[in-house]
Amino acid sequence: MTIPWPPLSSLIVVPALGALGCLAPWFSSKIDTRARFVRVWALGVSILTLVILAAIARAATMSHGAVLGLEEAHQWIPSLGITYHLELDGLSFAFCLLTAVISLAVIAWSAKPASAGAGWYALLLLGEATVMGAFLATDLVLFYIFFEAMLLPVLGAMALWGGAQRLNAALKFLIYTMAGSSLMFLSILYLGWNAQAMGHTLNGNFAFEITTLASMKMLNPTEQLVLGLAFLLAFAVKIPIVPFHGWLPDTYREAPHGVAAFTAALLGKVGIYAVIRFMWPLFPHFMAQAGPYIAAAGAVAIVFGALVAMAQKDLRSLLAYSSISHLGFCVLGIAGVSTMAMTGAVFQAVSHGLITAALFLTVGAIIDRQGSRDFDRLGGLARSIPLTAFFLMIFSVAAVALPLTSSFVGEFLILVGAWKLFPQWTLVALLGVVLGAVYTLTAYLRTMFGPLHATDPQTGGDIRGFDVVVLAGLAAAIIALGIFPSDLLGMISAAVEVSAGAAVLADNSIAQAFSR
Amino acid sequence: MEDIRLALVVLIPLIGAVVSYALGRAAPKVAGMFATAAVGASFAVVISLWRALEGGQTFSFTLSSWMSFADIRLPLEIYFDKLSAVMCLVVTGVGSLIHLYSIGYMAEDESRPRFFSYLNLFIAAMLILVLGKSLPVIFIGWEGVGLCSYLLIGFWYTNPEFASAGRKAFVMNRIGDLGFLVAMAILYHACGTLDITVLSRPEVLARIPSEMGFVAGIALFLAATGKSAQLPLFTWLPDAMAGPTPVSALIHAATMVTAGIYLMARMFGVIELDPMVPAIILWTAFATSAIAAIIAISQNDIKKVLAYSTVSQLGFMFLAVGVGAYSVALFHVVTHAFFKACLFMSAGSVIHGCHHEQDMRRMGGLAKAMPLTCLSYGAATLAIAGIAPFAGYFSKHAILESLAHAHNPYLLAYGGLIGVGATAIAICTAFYMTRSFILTFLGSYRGEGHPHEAPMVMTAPVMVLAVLSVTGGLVLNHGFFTYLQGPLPPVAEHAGGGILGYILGSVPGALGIAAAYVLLVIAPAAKEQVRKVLWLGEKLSAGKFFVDELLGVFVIAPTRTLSGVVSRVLDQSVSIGTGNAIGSISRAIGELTCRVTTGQVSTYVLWMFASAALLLYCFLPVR
Repeated sequence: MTIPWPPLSSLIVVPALGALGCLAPWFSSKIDTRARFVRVWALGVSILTLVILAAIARAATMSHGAVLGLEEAHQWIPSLGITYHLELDGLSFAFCLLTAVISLAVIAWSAKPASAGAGWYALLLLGEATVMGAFLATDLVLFYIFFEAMLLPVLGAMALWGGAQRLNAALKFLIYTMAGSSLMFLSILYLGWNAQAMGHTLNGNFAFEITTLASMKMLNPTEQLVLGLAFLLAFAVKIPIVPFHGWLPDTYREAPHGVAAFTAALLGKVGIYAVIRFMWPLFPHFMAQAGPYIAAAGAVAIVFGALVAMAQKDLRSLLAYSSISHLGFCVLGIAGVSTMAMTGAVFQAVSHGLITAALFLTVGAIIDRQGSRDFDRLGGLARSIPLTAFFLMIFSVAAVALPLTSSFVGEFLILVGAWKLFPQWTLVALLGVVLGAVYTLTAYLRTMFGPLHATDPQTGGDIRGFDVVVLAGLAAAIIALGIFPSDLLGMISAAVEVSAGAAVLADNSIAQAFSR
Repeated sequence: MEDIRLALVVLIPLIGAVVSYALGRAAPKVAGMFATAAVGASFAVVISLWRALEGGQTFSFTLSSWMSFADIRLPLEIYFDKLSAVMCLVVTGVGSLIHLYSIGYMAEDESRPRFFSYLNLFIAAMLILVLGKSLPVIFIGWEGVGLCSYLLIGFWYTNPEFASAGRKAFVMNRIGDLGFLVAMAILYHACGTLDITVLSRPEVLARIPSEMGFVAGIALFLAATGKSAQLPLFTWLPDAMAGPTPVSALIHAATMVTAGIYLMARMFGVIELDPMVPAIILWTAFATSAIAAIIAISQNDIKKVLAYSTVSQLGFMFLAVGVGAYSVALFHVVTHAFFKACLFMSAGSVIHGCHHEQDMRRMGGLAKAMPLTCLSYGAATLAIAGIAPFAGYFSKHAILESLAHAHNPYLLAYGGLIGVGATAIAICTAFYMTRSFILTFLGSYRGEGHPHEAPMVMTAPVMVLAVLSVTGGLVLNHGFFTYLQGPLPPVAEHAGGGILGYILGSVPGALGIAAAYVLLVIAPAAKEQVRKVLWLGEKLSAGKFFVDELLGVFVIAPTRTLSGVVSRVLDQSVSIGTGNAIGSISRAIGELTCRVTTGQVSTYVLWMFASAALLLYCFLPVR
């Protein structure tokens, strides 16, 4: 279904133009006016994007029931069969919503690097535009462009305003992801060429659009294996799945708080999304065979991340490894054909985005005000900064997946759903539930409880003003999704069933692969 | 039948939690009164619902569609039947008394609003636990009470030991939660639902494959061991005494710790799928009860005595669960809530009166200074000792009697042994409780302060509970079991009655009391003799059976080592190291290439000729 207005492109174009707009008053002479204008402008743009997304979703649900299925298609490079094709279904909607909310939160967060001016907001809006694009594109080439482009704003912000090791970390991040995705690009070219060679395309051209490619079923198992591995490598680095996570600790440690929150909340989610959107329809046979290994990787990541997090003494490093652990649940969820687990994985991805961004911002506030990120130099802060302590408690509780927070819904659906397919890996994953409580509560204990550390430079006070609104908003979203998740779950599951379920269940060889 | 009152039961304390905190920020004195009123109001609603229950009627209310989507039905629905009614009455009834008491106990604490907010939140969570219509909803309450317990144990968080005790409780409960999650996964896939009203039907339970039946039963029991402090997960409960005493009375004696027994009773169909499960429950309960009772003998902290006594009594309840006498277990839950809450609150008054002294060696002779507290503590001691006609006598006697009727193929001839052992534990219970009474209230005062009686707001609720400890059993004994016959299986009728039966049944308790009196008051010299004979028991008792040490060596230390090894070796060296190594190699190759590309044409020409020669050598047929 296509709708005339507002077009899906506006979700990409508005923040992109907004990013340009941030640079407009660059030539104004008064620095103060400039800074205030840019902040208000960026806030306005990100709110507008969220409103547009809500309007599109509302218009679609009004006319077509609960399930979204909006498309927007234009010819782009006809000679190569590359199209500009966007689609918003339940799956994309969940991630787009996350992107809009996180971008707004990070832009609204008052703390930013001292030297950051208009460029900070421009890069964040550019990041929002590219991530949105990745979640909307259904043409593989278009997706690939967004997939790579979303690195640039993050790398830029990191290189400009990161910690002491920022260049090293940025370079590492770049090389890791490029190394991962280069093979995917070759595979995409092969897919397009193959479609033409088999004579399946309409005008004898290449084809890169996912529904066209998936409906052909022309890939033999060997092709599926080779191409599937190439795709998987790209996403394994991006999510990341252990042991392809080498870039993550450095990136999360060196990036400015806002960028770390943005990266942790959104970039890895593209990997989760792409596995469901592209890999299951394109390589059903490969996915069915690789499923147990992917599930194993997810379960191992959960325990691995948790164990390493337990050994950390630096708050940001702890968040980095806990992220690996929590994303392991998503990986476990997308490993097999179970609507319950896969829907749970998407929901968990959204939930993790909200929680991890909130944690990075809260921890950032603590680090900035206390001048330290080391447990040994923190402690007893609950008395001096009660509001921060309150929010950190809510987000910690959400991180350990207590019921009535969003992450419980995700983890519960994943664990119960995956139990049928991979009981042994689900059991391993469950260990992460205990270990998660250990490191999360220990981190809270070391920062907030105990006697106040005497050497603390009590420079800053509690969080206040706009930042309280941001954290309260994120907390409200986490709890609302924890109590009333059914609408979003319904949307996601409808899309997931179309994207993965139908393609797989139609293929008889898969059923055999499972019965074995 | 849908009934909005059911939602009110949960929502009133929930709103109370928010409002009492907000109000309390402005006027700290109001917080306690408002919170108490909230629980009282909830109690009133529960009573009206309870009175409306007739025959097999039940009430339910759907709060949200929650995790319902596609063909999955997991709504957030609460449900009220006779079993829930019993639990709700205890939670809100005893709960409101303890709230009232807390107004006095916490009167000087500056963080009162936070305290009462947590306490109300706990009541709300506990009510969700006992009202949940499906396992995931029960799990909401299950985790909610765990969180409140964590927050309240570490209420005085500036003391790092207290905060650590909270963390210990939470983590140990989490280990049990694994079992809860596994059980939900198994039951969902086998039965297609997690609704407890459906899961109690035999034809639905028959769908569970036999080997999974065992796993599901054990998994549920694992969950119960965490929450209800049974072996090997009981060591958090004594540490939980770090929390304020009303918290110990409410959460760690009367309500939360009995959640495991409630879960077992609710899911008895699953527990009984494989007879091996009740057998394991029985032995675990017996071992826990015995160990805790022995440890309690050598404790000098008045709260620690009560904590180990709670563990031991919970073990008693699980004994009844193990032989399928669920309503008997529930009966002990109720009487235990009366007398243990009474004991804790009396102990709280003592601690309050002795200026935060908890060591019984620095107490003594307090009967004169605080007669009301002495009276209530004494009454509750007689109740827990199992002296007729006090409350504990009836429930304990019912448990011992149901043990005699145990029939389980895995128990073989040892069933009778458990009955004898349980009687020994009952003697032990009477002994250590009398010891604590004597050390606290008799003899002469050994401390430095000026002990004083607690204010009315504290003594009044304690007296109410003391009256319940005295009469509760006698009143409830008739009809309690038949009342619960809808949701729970019937139990064998008890012979019990008659004066002679009362006298005979009180013998174990009387023995324990007499032994304590002889050893501590009449002939203290004999104490050393007994100690020498029972040296091994004393070592184990004083060392708390080294359960914490064993867990430390076999669980915590290995996990910590593993964490270190994984972090340093697998993560830093292998995963990240490999990535870095690949980077370094590429860089080395790059540098090599740099050296080759010197920018001098002569070098390039040389390379060109050399490569050409190589190519010619390889491809030209030189032969």
